[in-house]
Amino acid sequence: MSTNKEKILARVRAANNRAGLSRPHEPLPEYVGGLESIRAEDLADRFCAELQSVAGFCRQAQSDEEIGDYLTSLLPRDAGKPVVALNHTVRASHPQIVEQLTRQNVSLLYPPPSESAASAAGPGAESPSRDSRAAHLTDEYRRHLLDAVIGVTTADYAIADTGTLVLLTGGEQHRLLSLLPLVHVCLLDAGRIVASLSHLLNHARPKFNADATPPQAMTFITGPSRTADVEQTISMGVHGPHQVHVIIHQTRSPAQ
Amino acid sequence: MPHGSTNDRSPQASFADGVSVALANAQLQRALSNATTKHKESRDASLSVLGPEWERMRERAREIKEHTLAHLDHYLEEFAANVERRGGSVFWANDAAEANRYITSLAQSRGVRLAVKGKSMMTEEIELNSALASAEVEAVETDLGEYIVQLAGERPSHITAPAIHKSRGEIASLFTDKLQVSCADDTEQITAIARRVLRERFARAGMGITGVNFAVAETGTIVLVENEGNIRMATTLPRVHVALMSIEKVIPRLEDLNVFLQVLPRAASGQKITSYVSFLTGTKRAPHEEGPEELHVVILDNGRTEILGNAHLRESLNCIRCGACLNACPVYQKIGGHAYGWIYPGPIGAILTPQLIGRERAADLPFASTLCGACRDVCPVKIDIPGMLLQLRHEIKEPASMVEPYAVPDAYAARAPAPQSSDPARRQDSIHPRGFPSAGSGRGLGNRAEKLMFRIWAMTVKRASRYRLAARLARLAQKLPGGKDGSRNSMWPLSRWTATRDMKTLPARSFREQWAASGGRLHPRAASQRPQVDNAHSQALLAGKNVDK
Repeated sequence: MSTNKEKILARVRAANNRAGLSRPHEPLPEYVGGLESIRAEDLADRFCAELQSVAGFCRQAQSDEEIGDYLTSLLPRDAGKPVVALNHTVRASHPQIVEQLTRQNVSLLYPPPSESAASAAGPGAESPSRDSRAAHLTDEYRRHLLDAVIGVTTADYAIADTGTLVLLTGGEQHRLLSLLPLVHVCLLDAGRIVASLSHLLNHARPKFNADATPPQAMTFITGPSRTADVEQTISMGVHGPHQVHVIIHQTRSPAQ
Repeated sequence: MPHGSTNDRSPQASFADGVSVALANAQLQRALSNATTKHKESRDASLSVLGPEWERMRERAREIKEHTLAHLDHYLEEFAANVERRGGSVFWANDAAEANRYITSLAQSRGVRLAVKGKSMMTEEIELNSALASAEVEAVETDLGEYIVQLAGERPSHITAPAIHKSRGEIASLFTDKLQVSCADDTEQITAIARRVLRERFARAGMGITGVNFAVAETGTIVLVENEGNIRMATTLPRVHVALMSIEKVIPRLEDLNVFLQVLPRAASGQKITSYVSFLTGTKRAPHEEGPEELHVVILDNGRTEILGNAHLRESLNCIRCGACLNACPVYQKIGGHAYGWIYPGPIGAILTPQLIGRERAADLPFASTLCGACRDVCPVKIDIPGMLLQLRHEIKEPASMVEPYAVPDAYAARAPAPQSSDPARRQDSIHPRGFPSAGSGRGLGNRAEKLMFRIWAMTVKRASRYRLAARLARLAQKLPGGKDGSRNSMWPLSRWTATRDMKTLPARSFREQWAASGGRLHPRAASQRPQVDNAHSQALLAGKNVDK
């Protein structure tokens, strides 16, 4: 008895034969479409202009102090002790920002530590207790994250031509950080901006693992969450952030 | 063989009735005009920046789709193998029933009581929500437009703007009624309420269900395009992610997205890129990672292989569901989505619906077009919709035994479409049971009369003498009482045509008669009476001179 898969594939082959359009397999020819090139020194400006055109906020900062001030200015005045969530890269590479925020009477929230699960537990070493502990931590984190007013992340790449942030899973947990809080702030290393989508696809490719496996999730974020479902009127923040702020700072570590 | 199920939700008795209802609905007319105008403006603006590059992108998008379809078996196997290699499960479903059975039993076995859904035409097509409901699994739509439509107990009326037919006031009172909140007639407040209500659902749901925009064969990656963020929620928060795709969603390589991610948002909404694009590959690699623990990809045929085998209609499978043809269509602009009777409205619906649920059940749709070609012009993958409308008209009108090859390969002629059923029970099954007499059965009286008329017309215009005689008779006929200029209503059966079209009044004398009477110089004073024309060519024309080079 043939499986559904075999049946469907057999029907596909028969259909292509019937239509006289079945061909021996050959690779698709390359696309030589017009690729816009943007000069390296213009990438940050272009990124900002594009992001602003879709109602995002963008600025360039010279120091961590400036970034800290900017973040502080985004804190709501009337929210008691607001929750600000940060990813681990921000904590590790911008300690001064963390310090500055701490002085502002906010409570800081981080994703559950990854090292306990990731490094200690090799394949097969996942004991039920460790799993349930990880699940518990995740639940706690999610609950708190729903209350967060600001989520601060880094970005793995950015696309100048569209004003797009590119976030990968694996190294960092920022899928929910960039989604649940009303305001998403991204600290973008200027060296991570590429010109266009096709540059990104070429650039990110070799960074995938040896077997060309992309990360479980690669997320493109271009401006705030929006909908036009009510009378074609654009409204922000329907599910994700109401505002997206990108702060571009100069490369401290070369893009990997 | 019908593939979708259209058991109950047909909103009106016939296509003609649906059209009348839509035309009489002033609110709908305002909404459609507003939405389609806005769409055109933003689309034009986004394309004007691109210049000729847009045409190259469309051509490339079409090339990729055609290549993929020609090797569909290869790419489907590659895609499925890569999903499985990265920890996902793949279920191959021949039809809607199999897909629904798989997903409902998956939900039951995982103890899922609540599923959150991203916008997906595929789940509409197989009516997954009602299948889940009968297994006591609540499925909540989370795209704002879909949520509104679900609360109202309706169905989407546009592929990318499902609640296009609803006014803000209607939505506000819908929320007030159904959600027991007080909601003002204010877009921001509507959005805020939806955010709050749906967040709670996202947090509780055990399963997230989405469609698939593109399935990348070389990596097993699922690509999802959206603006709201609800799909990101549905694919990050619940423990299980189910993604449904029909077989034609596959594309060969990641880099092919370079074209599709540019043409799709531009055609759909005039955006350069949507707010969010998610590329999801397999399941999470480490326990601490965010995202679902299980990924189930359901690959559906549901009638696609039949379309693939029809050399004239297979390019319907190129469609990437952008909705641009709806916005561009003068018919859609007036009648909206619900009149089309099933889930795919507009020009693309007029070709997909008859193919997916049976030509005899949607026989009116291919005729509901002026063949103006606007849909083809805006299509980001250059689908020849008018050509396929003609093909479907041909297939619907001709009984199977009479379908001529129609410049079709022999292989196709052998599998001409099923004969149009004249069995009343079967006709009752149509989504438009009392359709226009012009469509439907190829053997009906209306059809024979139409054929006869065209035969007489052909005989008339082939000979100048017959044409002159017919024109003279027609001019005489319009002098008859009741047939005069001003009262355009012809007698039955011609009145069926003139009810919605004005008959042109014929002048007292034909051009040929006037020409002959003037001895080759019509209205000799015409040139002098006209305003000054400074163009020698035009003057020569007005003077009746031969200016052919």
